[in-house]
Amino acid sequence: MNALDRLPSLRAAASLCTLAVVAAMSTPLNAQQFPTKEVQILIPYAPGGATDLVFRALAASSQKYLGQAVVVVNRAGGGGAVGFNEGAQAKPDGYTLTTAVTPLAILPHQVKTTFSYQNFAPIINVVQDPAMLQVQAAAPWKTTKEFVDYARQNPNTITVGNSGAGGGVHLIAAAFEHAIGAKFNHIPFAGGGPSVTALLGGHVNAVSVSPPEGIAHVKAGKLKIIALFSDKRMADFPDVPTVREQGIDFSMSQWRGLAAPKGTPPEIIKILHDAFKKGMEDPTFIKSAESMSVTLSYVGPADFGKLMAADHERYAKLVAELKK
Amino acid sequence: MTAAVVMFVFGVVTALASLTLPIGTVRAPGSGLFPLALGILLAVLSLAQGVSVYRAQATKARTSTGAPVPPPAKPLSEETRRVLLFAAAVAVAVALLPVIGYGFTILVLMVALLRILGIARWPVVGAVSTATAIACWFVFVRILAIPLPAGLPGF
Amino acid sequence: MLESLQYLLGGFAVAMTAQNLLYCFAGALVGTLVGVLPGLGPIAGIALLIPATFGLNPTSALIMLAGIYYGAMYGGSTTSILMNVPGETASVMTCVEGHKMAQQGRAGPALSIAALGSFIAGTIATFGLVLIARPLADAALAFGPPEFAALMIFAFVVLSNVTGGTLLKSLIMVVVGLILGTMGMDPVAGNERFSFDSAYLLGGIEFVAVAIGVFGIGEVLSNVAEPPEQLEQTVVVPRFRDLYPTMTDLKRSMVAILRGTGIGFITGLVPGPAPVIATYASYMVERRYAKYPDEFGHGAIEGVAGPEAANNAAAQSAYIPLFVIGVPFGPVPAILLGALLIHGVTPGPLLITESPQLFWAVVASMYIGNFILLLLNLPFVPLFASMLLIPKRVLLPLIMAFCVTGMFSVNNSVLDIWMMLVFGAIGYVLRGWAYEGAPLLLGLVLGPKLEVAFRQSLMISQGDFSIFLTRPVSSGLLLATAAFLLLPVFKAGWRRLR
Repeated sequence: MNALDRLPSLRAAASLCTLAVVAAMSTPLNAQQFPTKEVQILIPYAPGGATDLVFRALAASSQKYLGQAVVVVNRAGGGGAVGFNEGAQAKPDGYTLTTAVTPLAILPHQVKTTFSYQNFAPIINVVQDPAMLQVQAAAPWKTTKEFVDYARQNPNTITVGNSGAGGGVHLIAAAFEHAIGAKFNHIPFAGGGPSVTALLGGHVNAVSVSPPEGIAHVKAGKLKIIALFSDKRMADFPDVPTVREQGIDFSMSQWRGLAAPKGTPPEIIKILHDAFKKGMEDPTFIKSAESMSVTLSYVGPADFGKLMAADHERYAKLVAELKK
Repeated sequence: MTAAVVMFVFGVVTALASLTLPIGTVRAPGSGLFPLALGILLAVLSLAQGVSVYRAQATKARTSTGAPVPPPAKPLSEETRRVLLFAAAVAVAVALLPVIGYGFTILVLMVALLRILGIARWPVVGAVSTATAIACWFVFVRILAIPLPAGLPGF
Repeated sequence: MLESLQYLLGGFAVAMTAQNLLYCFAGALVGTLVGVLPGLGPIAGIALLIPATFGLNPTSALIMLAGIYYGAMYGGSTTSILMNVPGETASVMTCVEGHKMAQQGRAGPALSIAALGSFIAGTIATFGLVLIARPLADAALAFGPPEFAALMIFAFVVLSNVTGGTLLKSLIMVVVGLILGTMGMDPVAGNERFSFDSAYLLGGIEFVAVAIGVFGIGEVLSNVAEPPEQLEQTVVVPRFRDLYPTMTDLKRSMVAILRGTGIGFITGLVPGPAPVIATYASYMVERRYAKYPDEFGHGAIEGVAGPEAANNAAAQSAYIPLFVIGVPFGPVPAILLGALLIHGVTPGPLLITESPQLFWAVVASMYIGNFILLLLNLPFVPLFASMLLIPKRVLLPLIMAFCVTGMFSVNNSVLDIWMMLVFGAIGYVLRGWAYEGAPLLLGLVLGPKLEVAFRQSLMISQGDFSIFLTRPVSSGLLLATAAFLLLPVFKAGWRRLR
């Protein structure tokens, strides 16, 4: 029954294969200029989300400037904790990068984690998305002021959907109600998509989101932006004023950037920063970013580090507030 | 019967563990309410299952005279030993995966499993294992670009 | 409506250009390859290939991605039938009868019927998409948290005993699945639950690890436990005379396929785990109305035809909410939405009016993609079926290597492989006790959704339970559930009265 070992050709094939294995193993490991092999970007979320899409596009546009392939690897789980954990523990050689996004500054306050922003060396910030509240276009409130007044007079009646309990947009909505002295009824959903769907179906009164979530429906006239938390107006909607313009001292955004494990040599950080900066300025990337309605915002390593540190402190207070 | 007991214990443990979580109220359920209810439900269901199994055994024992005595606990049979060995080999291979890389892991896994399943001739074992390892590596690492662990050998 | 058909013809003209046909074919081929690997489902397949579509025009890119989607959905049935390894949620029910058929030497007919069922369901669902997309999509938005909770309760009551074993044992398995589903971060309150301070467990239990473990690895281990002379054998000697289904097979399957299509098309419109509900419900219906009930559990062809058709129809109708109102109802439409955005296409009400050409070309390419898949897969049936000619002592290690690789590819995580092995051991033990895997998976998949929807509803109503009863859809579903539970009681009472 064992016909296999009677076939000499198979044996020959096997030995050939062994040869191939040996040949592949002996690839020389020259300590050349960085990078000598592909660079990985760990994304702590499942494919298809905003972070995933932005960095897939950036990886594609940056590899020609880096001179090596840039590969995107998704490590979803634990609201990002799994991926951040692995990224923080990677070898600090510049070949394993992690997307540093706002939850990196939130998670350590919420659950027991082995990492914080301090375990990472910032490289570059790519996107800074304004946070906002959206309501149905047919909602009774026409302006931010009407909405805020109604919220103040009717505590706990306005249901505000968010993309997950304790997530960025939940905390932002909580910070906003604090700033205006109102009380919302926060309803968590499993992601930004489902929360927008619930708003479209009229199951909640408002949602707290970051672009590109809901933007398509705002453009289609089904939803409207009732409170915009960015510093500047959005390029897509020049008529929508920010809340600060309307006398509410409040602004919050979510950042998405790249970081390497702490201890990565500064020269390597610089090579990576320069390549990704050029990738950010590449017309193909700018075009994809536009079609996704994300707001590009370049921040260099030093300032990006400060940004992360400041938000780390800010969210520490917010989370403590919410737990009360 | 063993099954019902295991399920019962699992239910009770779940219920007890969920007591450490905030239970909330029925109108505003906390994290613990759902698992607590499930744990109790499982305990009740498996209790019912245990009773029905016990009853069935009792009737069986009554109706069939000279009923077959439950088989005496025998030492590990050849088959059980093979299953344990097989499972252990897989576990060892997976433990080695991050160290020796994907290609060698498949090689080690195949060699071990083929031997355990009783293929004695080394040339057959070697050929099948090497071919599988190379084919897997080529398809999954090279073509589909799955970032399988490279380990020390680098592939 | 007539206008729609005209547009559809125009769409066919675009999709049938040599270039687009090629992309459609490439997508279907890659999708099949990706889908055959357990774990690497449509989501991973599409994500992997999005960068490859950067250089294409949006229409070609979408056509190719749609091909990958269908290919991957179909590929999942192959491993389910041949090795009892479900690659994804939608294939679990295919394992139950499909693998039994393979063990009886009828892998060929099972594979062919799966392909044929998918094709027929795809065809009907495409026309459904054209004709009644709009009103359906708007109706689907009426599904809020209370409706969702009611639907889940209905699904649990009706589907718990899906495979028709002992009711008590099935219920126990459902509850075990529900308990496993509570592990990880509590989605409503955001705190840790049964995660033992592990970042890995914080994400909850990976569904695919449980599916491959309980079904695939459990099956491998129980084969290993067979006496040595069995291991020298092949799984079964496939009868090469009947690689393709007989007339009787076809006749028996046809009704099942049509029923499955209907069930799948409707459930696909409901946000959430549509494929699970669709395939379980289709299997349940086939078992209940079977002409040959004795064959169920031992390789009934209706049990393959129905769920496979339901699966494909659900996949198709899930496009409706995405294209018509721009809302993705599940993970696959969500990643397609991402791909669309990268290509500068925003799905939604404006898409059909602003770029009708693209929309209808994609609809047409779905149909063509289904056809190409049929052409692609039927000739492969003998090849796949002959895999079972490999003696078990070689085949079992191969399946192990396959499962380990596939499991890793889901999240690129070695810990997932460990999880799969643990559930393999559990699956082996459960088999010994004659407890079934399908109800366990039902609980694991639907449980978290039920809990979230239930708690969301109460948060919205601020603790008022009447929210479940005052809304027409949810009260209707709850009434149906009550009727299902009480009907047998009434029947018994009626009989007694007479």
